Amino acid sequence: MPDPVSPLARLLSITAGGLALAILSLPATAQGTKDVEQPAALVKAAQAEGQLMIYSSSDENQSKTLLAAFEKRYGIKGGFIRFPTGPLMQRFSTEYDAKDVRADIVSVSSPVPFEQRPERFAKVDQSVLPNLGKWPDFRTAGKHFVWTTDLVALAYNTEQLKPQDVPKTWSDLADPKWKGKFLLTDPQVADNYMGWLDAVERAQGMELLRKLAGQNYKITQSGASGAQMVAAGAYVFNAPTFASFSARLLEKKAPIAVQYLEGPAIMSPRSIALVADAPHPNAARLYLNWLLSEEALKLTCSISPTSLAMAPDSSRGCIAVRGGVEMRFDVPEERKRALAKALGVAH
Amino acid sequence: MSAYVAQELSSAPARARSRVPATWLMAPLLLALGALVFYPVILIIVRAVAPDGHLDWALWADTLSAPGLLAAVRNTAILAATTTAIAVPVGVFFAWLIERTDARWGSLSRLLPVIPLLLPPVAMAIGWLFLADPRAGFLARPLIEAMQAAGIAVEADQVAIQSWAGLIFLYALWAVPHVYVIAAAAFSGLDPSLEEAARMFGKGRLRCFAQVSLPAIRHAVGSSVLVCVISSIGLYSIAALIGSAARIEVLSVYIYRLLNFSYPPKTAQAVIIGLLLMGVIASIWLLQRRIAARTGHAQIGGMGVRPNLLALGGWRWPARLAVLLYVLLTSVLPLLALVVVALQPFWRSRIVLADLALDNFAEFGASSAARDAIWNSTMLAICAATAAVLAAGLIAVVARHAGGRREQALGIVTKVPAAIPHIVFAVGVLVAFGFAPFRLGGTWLILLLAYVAIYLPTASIAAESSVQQIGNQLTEASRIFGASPVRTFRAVQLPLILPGLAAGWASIFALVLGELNAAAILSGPRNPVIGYLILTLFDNGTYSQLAAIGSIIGVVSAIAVSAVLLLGRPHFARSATA
Repeated sequence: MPDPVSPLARLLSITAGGLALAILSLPATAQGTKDVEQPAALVKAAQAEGQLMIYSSSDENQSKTLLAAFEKRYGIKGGFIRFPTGPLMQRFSTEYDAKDVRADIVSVSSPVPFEQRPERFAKVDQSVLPNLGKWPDFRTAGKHFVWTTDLVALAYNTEQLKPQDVPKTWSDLADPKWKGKFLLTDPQVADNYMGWLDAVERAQGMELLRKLAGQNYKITQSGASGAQMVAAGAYVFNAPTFASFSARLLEKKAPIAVQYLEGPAIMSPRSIALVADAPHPNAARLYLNWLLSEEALKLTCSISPTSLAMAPDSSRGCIAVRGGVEMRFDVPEERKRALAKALGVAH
Repeated sequence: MSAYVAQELSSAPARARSRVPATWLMAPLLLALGALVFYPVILIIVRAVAPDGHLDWALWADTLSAPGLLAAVRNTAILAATTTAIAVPVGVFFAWLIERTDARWGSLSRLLPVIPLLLPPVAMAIGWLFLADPRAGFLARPLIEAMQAAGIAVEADQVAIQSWAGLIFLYALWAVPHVYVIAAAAFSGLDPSLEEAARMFGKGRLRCFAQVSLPAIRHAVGSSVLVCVISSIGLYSIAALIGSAARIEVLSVYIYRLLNFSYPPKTAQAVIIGLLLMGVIASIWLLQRRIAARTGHAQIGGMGVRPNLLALGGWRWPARLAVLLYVLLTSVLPLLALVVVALQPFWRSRIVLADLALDNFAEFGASSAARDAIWNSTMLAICAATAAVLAAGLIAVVARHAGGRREQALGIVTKVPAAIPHIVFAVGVLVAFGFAPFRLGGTWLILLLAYVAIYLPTASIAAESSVQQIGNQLTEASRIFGASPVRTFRAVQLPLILPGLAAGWASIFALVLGELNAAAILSGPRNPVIGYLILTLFDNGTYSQLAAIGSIIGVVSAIAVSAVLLLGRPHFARSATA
């Protein structure tokens, strides 16, 4: 297994120059670093349950690594199912409706599933997860909380493009010199790409989208495919994307790098929740509390480039997030259609 | 079973109705069909379209007036029509060359045109991307550079595979082997005396093909058209990877979007489109049956002859070269591209020998989940293909005995799953069998049930084509000698339809191995399958890992499909090539 630190360090050094944002103001009390362990009785009950199931739309490597560390610490074996939000939540809903709940924890980008059916999720506050005391109040929502945030990025081929020539803002993508040379991730494939499009339009207006529509770009349905195509040299760059899609390629020394664009810098939050009537409720509480421990937070940031919702700095090896806007997941259908049409990805 | 078969050329449909009542066989069959196909379908229709017990017509209006649907339908129709127009003649012609002429050389040549079948569509699409991407493709990039160096003004975008031409090419490429296996099965049972007579009366070789051989397997050609149309409508991976890049949206991608790219999933809209598709597919099936019935076709009868291969003379080697060229261009090169990228740490258009290693294969070997997925998928593919073709064979025989409206009804119900998106059908199967009282969720059996139902249409089309070829002389003879209907099926009909069933088996085996959408709903850590692995890699892995899994699937498919197609040959063909 290649050492994940070196490509990550490379990625971080690349992004350091690209970020010039103001630090988000957070309540000072919310940023403590002292871990609070779950009561011994809960730990014992969790170990008696002996297992844990996570339904997640996040990077497979992240779930695998975190669960392995959790098992090493508590001796509880965890499994996970990883799919995009649509089929993942369809599967969860079908099982829940049949009163055959199999997931203990659910983690997806969009908060909509948690907000639409709150009765399917258990309460998450400091009484349930003592480590949640470190979390700022605005990141917790009763039935779920924002765990990490990821900056929307651009992945480029380092053999075809020098860092100084890489677009730095979303408006730069409309420069005629990129005509026919880049790959656009279809914003219709996921809520967080649509959230990106919505945020760009709010900041720059429909006119920018119309200009982009004339850029004769090609479309990819997946950020992972986009990164591969860029690394192969098929396209100069791919946007919008997330740094995690390039992490594996960087490990393999592919000619790819990530640039976080501004105008505005756009963040995608990731939410996580405990399932109501979960088959292993104690193991789930123990895992989620451990996930907020210093050990797990550092591990989370070492697996793939991400930022913690509670600490927007680069401590713990995370990506620093200074300023920017957080994307919205409640974009109305009509607006989604209008945005996609203006961008030229829909009829 | 006798090695000798003969034919009768009927100008009207031979309604081979046995006097043995077929109803006793119909009842359990319909019951099993109802449980496996209709129970999940009805459950999901009711849940999606009429959740409160009544139909919401506004939902239908919204679905049908949605922007983009019309373009997706139009693009799908163009794609299905062009794919069929290319793949059916090519597939049938190759089947004729291999089965009916001396262009065949040994058993190996029978397998050549089915090589593209051995790869799941997602692996084939990626393999072609490796070859034909204009800026990074192993073939396209040097070709364009050479043309530009020679002063020919050509831009990368002008020859991009991400275009209508590229999409049609890949669809046709994928469809040709499906046509070939059906047509080859039909040709293999064909009496050569008609062709020989035509030759004696001075007909040329091509005329002999067009005027004698082709009309004799008209039913198989009709079945091939049906397979092509249904497959083209349902195929997702190639459309998503190649078509979407060129902004060509088709129905499969449109439906996939409804289910996967929005929350909550728009299942009701997907089901409504599925219901309409069901009507379209049933109409095409009925049309195909009517045309086949009106025009007649050759049947295997009670008198036997040994087949002689038509001598092509000077055309023998050009014909062989055409087959080889087809195999080279459509199978060997993409397979090689997949293997090369599987050996690379990541896809690069420049091949550096020092970079090539077995790391991606070793990674799969070291992962117990990947090993389990490959084993589970192989076993599932064997069991699902066997169960589906046996059920379809039995249904086709019983339906033929029943005749009339009951035959039509059975023909249509076996095509129902073809119109339902796999992911929707899988949700129906999960609701029907996943929880109490069956509690099959997370098990191997629930995947088996889903795959048998999902691929019943493919098996049914292959079986119907074979059953249509059997005349009633042999079954009548069996009945007169006192054999029961079961014995007649086992000893007389089954051996005769075996080549057709083997063809259906091969198609289903390959399709199950690479199936993605039902796996997303029914597979998990306790019952991993290759589709689950591919989906995960497609979203988070590298093309090199996908290429490695594609190569592994290719090897597994090659062994299984070759064995079955060779064993499924008619007895006389085995002795002829031995």
